[in-house]
Amino acid sequence: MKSVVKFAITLGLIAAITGFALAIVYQITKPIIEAQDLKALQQGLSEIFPGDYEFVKLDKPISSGDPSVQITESYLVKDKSTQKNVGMVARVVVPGSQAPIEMLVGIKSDGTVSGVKILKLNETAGLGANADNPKYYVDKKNKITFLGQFIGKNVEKDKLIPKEDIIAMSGATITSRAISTGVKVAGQAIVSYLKEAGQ
Amino acid sequence: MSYIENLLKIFVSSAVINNIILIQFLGLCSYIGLTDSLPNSIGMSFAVIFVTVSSSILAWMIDNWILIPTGLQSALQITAFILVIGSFVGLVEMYIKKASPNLYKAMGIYLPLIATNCLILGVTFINSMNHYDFVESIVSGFGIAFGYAIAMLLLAGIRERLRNSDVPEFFKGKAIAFMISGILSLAFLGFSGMIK
Amino acid sequence: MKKKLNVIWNAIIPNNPVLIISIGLCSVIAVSNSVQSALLMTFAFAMVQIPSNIIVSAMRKIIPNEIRVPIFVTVIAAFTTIAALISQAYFNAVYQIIKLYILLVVVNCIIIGRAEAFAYQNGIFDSFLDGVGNTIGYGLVLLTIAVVRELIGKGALAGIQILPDSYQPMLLMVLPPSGFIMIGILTGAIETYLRKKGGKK
Repeated sequence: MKSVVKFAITLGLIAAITGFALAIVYQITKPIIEAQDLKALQQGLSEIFPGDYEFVKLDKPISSGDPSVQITESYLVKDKSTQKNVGMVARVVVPGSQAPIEMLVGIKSDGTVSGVKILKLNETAGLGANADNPKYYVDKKNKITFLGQFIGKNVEKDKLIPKEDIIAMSGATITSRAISTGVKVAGQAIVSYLKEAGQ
Repeated sequence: MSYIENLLKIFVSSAVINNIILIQFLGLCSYIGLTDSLPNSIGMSFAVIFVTVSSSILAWMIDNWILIPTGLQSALQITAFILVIGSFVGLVEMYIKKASPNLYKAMGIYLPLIATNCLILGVTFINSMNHYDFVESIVSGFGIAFGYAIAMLLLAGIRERLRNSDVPEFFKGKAIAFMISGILSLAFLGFSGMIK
Repeated sequence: MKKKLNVIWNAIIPNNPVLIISIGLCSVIAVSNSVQSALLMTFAFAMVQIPSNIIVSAMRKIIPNEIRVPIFVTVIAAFTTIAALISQAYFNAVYQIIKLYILLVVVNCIIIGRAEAFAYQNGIFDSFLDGVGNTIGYGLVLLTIAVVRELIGKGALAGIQILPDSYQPMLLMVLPPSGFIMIGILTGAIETYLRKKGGKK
């Protein structure tokens, strides 16, 4: 019996020492990590809806209706002066070819895409990784990036399918499809929500 | 897409497209070590399938019932996962020792290796990072283990053939196994076109 | 003094954990396709290997033999979490790319192997040196491969373009298969070297 007590005490002691070190590091790093996330989010939101808007986070994110497209956060976009809903931004997670892709999808009340911004991307270097590369153009003549081409498209009326109405990234069909599907599915869910929510 | 389609997609993706050994490089110790014998490879594959599916379930419970609700995921996930899964594998090892001493002797040092194995823990982290729900975690765990089995059996079969052939002096031993794995990896990369 | 230095040297060439003992492989192949990833990985490795060796050695007299493995694991897990948190806070960009492999440092055979084989039996300073030596041995292999893969595969090092624009990068070098092949070549090289040395005796 005595040895079990000895074991427990030693284990407890070690756990206490290492746990203490961990707690300190955790306290120091947690605010830094959260601030980073917040900064990326806010930058993304204002890039997608540039102008005088207010972003109200919904307590419960809307549902995408599709198990492969996860909406983790939803932000209602309101005009600051009129307080009317002008659109919504959803934080979407879709499976890419290598790892999940996390992005912000902004849709206006009329169903058009105001912008798509990537938060987390871990696709194949040189191929899918170009999705958020500002120098990679799918339309070289007009200098349009892969994400840029979504702006203005209508999630209810357009197909949003790579190689049909969306220019895919060369050698990265899966990544292109994943992002397009995310935009379309989340977009449609947003439009339904906005219609019900009214003004 | 429907729920079932989604599950199918997860399965194919974890077994083939993101094959845990040939594309994600986890589980290599046992991969190189055991594939010189086909029977060992088969036995290990079954053990891995059992342990990954069970660990996926355990990890999902820890994540969703304890870590996320208390907001301590970033601080405690690593420790919680490894302690629980390590203990679980220890129990499995004791069971195999009692139930089938032959199997135990054959697996030798590799059974405890499963516990501190990148593969088992890797599966739990992958499931967590992908925010899979309960069923998705199981499908993913099974898919990954299935992919492990495929890779193991492929290499084991090839190494059996290799025994009777002329390997250049430079590559004798483990080196040739790596080179061949590189070619297998290349082949599996080609599968990325599979997912619709 | 020479004996102390030997402890470090031992872990770099004669008993290089990755190339000779063939452990700790998983992360090496996965992380070696970019110099920045290799550097962060080595940093995380150091942040776990060195404190772990020190603590295990400092407590070795009071750690009962029967529960030594769970204790090693607890210590290593705590420091892996620390390494992950620090990486996420200060090196977030690279961290997001190799996140899985940093988490997996906790099961890195090298670290737990050294705790068992060295730190549990030796003094604190020696264990510290052993930790440093293994980190160097690990890091050198990682960086060497990373330099080759990134240079040929992307024409850059640590994101900085080195080769001229006219160079068509061989993309395959940063994809999985080349990782295996590079390790195969390195393993073949070292094993051949050691075999010849052994034969000469």
